[in-house]
Amino acid sequence: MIQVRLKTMERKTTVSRAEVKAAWAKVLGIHEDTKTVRPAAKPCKKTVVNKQG
Amino acid sequence: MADPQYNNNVFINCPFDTLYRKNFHAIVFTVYSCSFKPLSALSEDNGTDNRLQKIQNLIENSRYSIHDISRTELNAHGFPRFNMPFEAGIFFGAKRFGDKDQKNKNALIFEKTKFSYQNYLSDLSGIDTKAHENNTDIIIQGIRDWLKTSSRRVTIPGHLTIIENFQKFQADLPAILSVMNLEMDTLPFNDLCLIVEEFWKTKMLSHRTS
Repeated sequence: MIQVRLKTMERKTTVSRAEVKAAWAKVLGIHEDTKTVRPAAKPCKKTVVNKQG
Repeated sequence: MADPQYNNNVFINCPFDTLYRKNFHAIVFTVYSCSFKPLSALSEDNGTDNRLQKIQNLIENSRYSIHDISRTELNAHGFPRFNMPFEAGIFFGAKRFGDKDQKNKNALIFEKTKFSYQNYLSDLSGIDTKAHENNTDIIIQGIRDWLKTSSRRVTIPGHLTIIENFQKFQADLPAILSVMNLEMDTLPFNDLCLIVEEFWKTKMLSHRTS
């Protein structure tokens, strides 16, 4: 397990962080969506209301 | 203290030519891998600052510094390259004459073969320089061990981990540049830093989620 406490820094770059991130995801064969998007929250349990009741 | 990141900043004073490029990449990669921030004269892009002023600011803002004086040699015009020893001298001066924070400065001095500096910079006698033999593995271990012992941080990974990941980084870098339509020969320092940052982020993210 790699543990690097990365210290990032905003610098004046010619490319954006998003572009670089996408490039690494492409080269390393990682699907960004499945890695970065949190799993959807479980749907709330709806109370069934008996309208006729 | 001039910069709140003073204790995390590492000023890199080394050649920037293509012959040195792999070593330079290894230095930047290792500094990031040890949770520090690399600074270089190439990182500033303010046309109103003169070069010396820029270097002085970077040195003032960096507790740590890596100086590679191995290329103090004659150039194509028959003149020696004095920039690296000169900047190392500014760093030593800041440590000697600066305030309390500046006196905490710590430097790593690389040369190609042990004690070769005695032929052209004998004032450094007594300083423990490191010979890197132009080998990136030695450079990585030298920087990692120096940062570990001088900072006493427990979060710094072992040198073998850094070497292994640097090899992967180097192997993938041409593909990354190709995807982004960038060229190795003209890659700006700040872009290189961003690419290294995102390499580690992607690696750690993929480990967490796999």
